[in-house]
Amino acid sequence: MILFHYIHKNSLLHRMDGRLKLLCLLLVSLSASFASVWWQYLLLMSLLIVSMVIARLPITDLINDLRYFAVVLVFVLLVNTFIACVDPTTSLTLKPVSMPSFHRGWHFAGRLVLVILACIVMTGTTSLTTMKNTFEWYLQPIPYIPKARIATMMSLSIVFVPLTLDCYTETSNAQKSRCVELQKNPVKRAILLTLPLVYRALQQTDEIVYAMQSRCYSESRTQAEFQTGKTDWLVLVTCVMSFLACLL
Amino acid sequence: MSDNSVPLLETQSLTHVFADKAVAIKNINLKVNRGDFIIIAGANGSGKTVFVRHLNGLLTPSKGKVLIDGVPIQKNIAVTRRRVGLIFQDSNTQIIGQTVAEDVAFGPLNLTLPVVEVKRIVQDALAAVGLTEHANRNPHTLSSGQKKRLAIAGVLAMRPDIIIFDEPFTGLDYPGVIQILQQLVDLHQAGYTIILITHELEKALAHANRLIVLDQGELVVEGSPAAVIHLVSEYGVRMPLEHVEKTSSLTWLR
Ligand SMILES: Nc1ncnc2c1ncn2[C@@H]1O[C@H](COP(=O)(O)OP(=O)(O)O)[C@@H](O)[C@H]1O
Ligand SMILES: [Mg+2]
Repeated sequence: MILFHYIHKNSLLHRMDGRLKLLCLLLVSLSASFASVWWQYLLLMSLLIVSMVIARLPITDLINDLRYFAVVLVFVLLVNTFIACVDPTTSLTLKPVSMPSFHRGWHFAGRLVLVILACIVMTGTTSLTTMKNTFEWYLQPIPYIPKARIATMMSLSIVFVPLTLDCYTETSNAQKSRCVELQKNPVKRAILLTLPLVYRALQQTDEIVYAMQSRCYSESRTQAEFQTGKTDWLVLVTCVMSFLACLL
Repeated sequence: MSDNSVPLLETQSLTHVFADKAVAIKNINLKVNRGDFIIIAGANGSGKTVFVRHLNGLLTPSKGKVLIDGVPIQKNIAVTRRRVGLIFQDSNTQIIGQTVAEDVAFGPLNLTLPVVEVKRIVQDALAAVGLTEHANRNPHTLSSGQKKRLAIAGVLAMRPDIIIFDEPFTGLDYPGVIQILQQLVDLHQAGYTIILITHELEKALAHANRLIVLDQGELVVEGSPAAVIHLVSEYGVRMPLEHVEKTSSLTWLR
């Protein structure tokens, strides 16, 4: 499963300024929600596929992972086709299949696909640290927000994720090798797995905090530096233009 | 350079009692001089980790104090943490960065050094531990020995005076142990003061100028390796089998 993982490459999009990339993500997602004609979908789709090629993301592997989302897409399609939410006061009603609602289903599914692809490009080409620095930068001008605290929380969760995943794999393997699968009650199994995980997680938090402290962590650190190249602006302009095209 | 009569690091009747009333260390007095290579041995749970975590102020003593260059470390905890580098037993929890290079940069960035300088420091530190070619890798995919070296690079990047290794050989294969041991000896030769926690005396004792044994939180043995080696087996530390009178032969190097 490599969906939404950072995939280290040295491409134009990997080197791109995170702040502009986040803007591009926003623009593409907005464009997707405004798109209404087939060529607009096609435009956005090709834009995203081209960026995946440029970023040298492993497209076949990603598509393979996307099959889990296929279930969601079919669900969206079905819900939109068969159920109309006429107005919020009356409850959901089932209605006969009609051409317009079928179309609306397709639109929803199409938008979802576009947004998922945009997120894949974003997460695949942006390391979590860059992501964190970007958010931090956008938080700067907002008053009354404990930016440094939020940045610390983001750093901690970033550090924590791989450790917890490792721990999950270890614990579940350890329990499997002692035949936890014979335990048929899924709730019990979940509890058996969760308790040691939470315990280890708490222990590890202590250690991580010590590790950060012993390397002088404080909330005033060197600020991240961003470098904006000409091509970065070019990518942004491309996204703005496709956004305008989708407004038509 | 400070006055020779003032030890680089000193603990005075250091005592730590945990919230559950467990006395982890009791009345430890120790002087660490510049250029020392000290080995701390002791059975599991004898208080070795708790003791060294006081030396850079991660833990605060219940009684007693820690002095660096004769000044209590609480006076400037950030400087102490920079000067006293600590390599944890579990390298995994010491990994902060997403890539190897980023992890090494963590400390210098905390010291608010400019980005250009941090880059140079990171390169030097990675070269010192032989991880340059792995700079862009995900640190969690490194081998145990490489993770240990990454932790060392992270500490070197802080330009410390003292480096403390908490059981660095645990979980390493034979080449891994040799590599870390060589690194330790090289660092000592380069002028760093070394404190090494290990109960595997046969691996490294030859390089140490002082041996200390903790037992149930108390410092029970202290002296030059040759003078005190015959005392260790009383305190749950395996007595190296070879000729005890020749402590200089106790190393895995060469
Ligand atoms: N956070 C803690 N809370 C309570 N007791 C602790 C804690 N950490 C360590 N101890 C106790 O302190 C003693 C010394 O532990 P430690 O220094 O880790 O031993 P070791 O010599 O194996 O490194 C042990 O008895 C341990 O149970
Ligand atoms: Mg220990």
